[in-house]
Amino acid sequence: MEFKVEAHRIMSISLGKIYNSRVQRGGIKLHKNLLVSLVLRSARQVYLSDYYQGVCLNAQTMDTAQPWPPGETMDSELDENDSREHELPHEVGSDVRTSTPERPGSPVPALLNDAVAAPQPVAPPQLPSRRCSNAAAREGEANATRECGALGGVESDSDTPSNPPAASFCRKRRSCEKMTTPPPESPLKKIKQQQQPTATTNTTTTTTTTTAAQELPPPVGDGEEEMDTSNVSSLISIFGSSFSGLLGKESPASEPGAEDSEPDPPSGQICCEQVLKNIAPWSTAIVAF
Amino acid sequence: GAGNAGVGGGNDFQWCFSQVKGAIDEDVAEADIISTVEFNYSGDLLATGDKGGRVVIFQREQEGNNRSHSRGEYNVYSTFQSHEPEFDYLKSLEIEEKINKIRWLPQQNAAHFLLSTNDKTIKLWKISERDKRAEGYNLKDENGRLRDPFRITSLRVPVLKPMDLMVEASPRRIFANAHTYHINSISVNSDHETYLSADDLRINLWHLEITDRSFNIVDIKPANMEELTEVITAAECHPNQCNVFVYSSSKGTIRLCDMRASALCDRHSKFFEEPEDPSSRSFFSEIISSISDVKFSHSGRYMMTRDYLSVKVWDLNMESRPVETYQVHEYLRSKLCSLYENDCIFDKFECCWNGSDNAIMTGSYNNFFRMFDRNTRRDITLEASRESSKPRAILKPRKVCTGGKRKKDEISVDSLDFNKKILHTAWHPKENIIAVAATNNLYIFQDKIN
Repeated sequence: MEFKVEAHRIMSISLGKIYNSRVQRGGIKLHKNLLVSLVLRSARQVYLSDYYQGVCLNAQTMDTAQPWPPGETMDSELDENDSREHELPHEVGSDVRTSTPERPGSPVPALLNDAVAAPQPVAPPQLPSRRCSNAAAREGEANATRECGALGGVESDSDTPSNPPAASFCRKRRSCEKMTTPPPESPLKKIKQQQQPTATTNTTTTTTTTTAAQELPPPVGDGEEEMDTSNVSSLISIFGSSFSGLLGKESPASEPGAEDSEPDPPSGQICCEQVLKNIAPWSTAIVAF
Repeated sequence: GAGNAGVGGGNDFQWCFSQVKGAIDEDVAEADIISTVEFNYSGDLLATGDKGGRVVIFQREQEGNNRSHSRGEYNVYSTFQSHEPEFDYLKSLEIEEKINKIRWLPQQNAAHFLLSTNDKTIKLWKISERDKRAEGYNLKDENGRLRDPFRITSLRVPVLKPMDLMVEASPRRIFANAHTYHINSISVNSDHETYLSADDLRINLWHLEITDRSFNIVDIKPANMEELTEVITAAECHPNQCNVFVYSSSKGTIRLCDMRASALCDRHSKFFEEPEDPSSRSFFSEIISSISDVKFSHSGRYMMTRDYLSVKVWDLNMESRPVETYQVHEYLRSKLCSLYENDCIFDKFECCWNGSDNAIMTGSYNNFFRMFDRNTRRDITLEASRESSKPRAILKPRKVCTGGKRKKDEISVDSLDFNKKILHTAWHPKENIIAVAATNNLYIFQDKIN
């Protein structure tokens, strides 16, 4: 339990550093960001391994305002994502056992619904995490990140699992749900696939995003400001992708859609890795830099 | 009590305060923070670069007025603005003027040459003295104004008259636009014609006379930046084999390359890596294994690397592990999380050899710096502070208390000032004189032989 809390804290700090590096004089320091990404990855691994060991913490709500300042495509991304969220297949919905979804209408299935999917086939998920993995694989980036973003934000749901496997299932599902909420993933996905943002019909989300943007603490100044946990998933999805090669080191052979055949280490980890491997926007920025 | 005897010299050896340069003000202007220190080949000149892009060169006074217990002092010889802040409009990036490294060229005539670099541009500066000036020109008057030719009725030969010594620094070459990433190292080759410059992903080889092109000799940029796993952190030319150089990585490895083997040295000749100790693994294992500096010994037989907690000496003939490992501040290992939070874990400490390669020195926090004697295995911690800055005062060894009862004169780990960091130190190439940069002050210590 301690490790998880510590891991989460370290992840928050890491994301804060990556975020602040954008405004540092002299440009982004590649070396430092690389090292921070390494720490982020290690912390995430610990966090997820704790997570799957059935450790329970009360979940922190993830649907509090979006922490991210409105990016160029941010809002529109969010919008599109939200609209996609509502096109839920029902198969996953039936699996949802938890009763306290943070965001109505944004269950895990949103991940499965790949309006802008990467061209991988959807493999029948065997485990909830697998499903998430597939979703990640298919979606390519943000969604999976969203899931992984759960690392940052999702402590756990408030339900106490009576049945450990089910509990894990629920928990994972919940984390996916939570991660579905934040907008950042969709922007990333959008950028990667070079689609134009579409207008949203989800005014609630938009409002939330706006509120979140306003609440974001200024990045300049004290570089060590503690980031809200609600920021974590957003930040990790936006910045965590830059050095996904680090993650790739863990499972070098894994390709999107291939993880079905893999054994089952923390699947969320696979999710993250897959997603982060496929997220390009930050690396595009790095390349340009 | 125990003096600081024995480290770096014989048993009677002790380090004493000699000089301190820089403002005493508590409020330190960021531009004044020293970012590099380097003696020239003879040790008569000591150059510093700062975050404001300035270079200050000190020259050692000749020992004319002999005071037996104090060698020549270093006084300001030349000051000039080497680099200015720039803005890359294409990428919307500001380029800092901070001087990352200064490297002297071997002296070949009366003038002195050095290379100074910021993140993107390397400059070759010529520092020359002028102590005579010509007077009695025919075509211009004393103020330099052109005389009206019609008024010249006779010719005279200009004569050289002495003048107050003037030291001029002029940029002779500007090596620009060759680095996409931030330059971390420059190193002059033993052929005295070429030098290398290294950034996070690439190393380029230059000829000192040619500024419009350089040869890329190492490129570790992956095709897909998402696959990046390590960066180049330091590089140095071998001191006497002009075809050999090494570069260190953020993963704690060192690669030795031979430029005769191929034009592109992506494939190393030797690969130095110490296997990781699995029992000490933590979130921050990778960060603290990142090498911040690599230096060949003067002999060329060894090289030294600095990572966050230790200094390692490697025999170039043995790639599997270092021959010596010295702990700089092992007591920080349990504090890595805090040091990560306050960014101290990213501090890049340098290290240096003494002239005879039997002692090494590196910096730490609280204005402490550490020296290790390779022969006696003795080590010592000294402090660069204004309090112990009386002329010729012997430096008292310092000790950090790691737990339990704190003895008198010891300082506990939690009392260390992590804002006072000694990242840059330099050792005179021949004598026991050291220069230690403590934020905006430069301390010079030398030996006192009993």
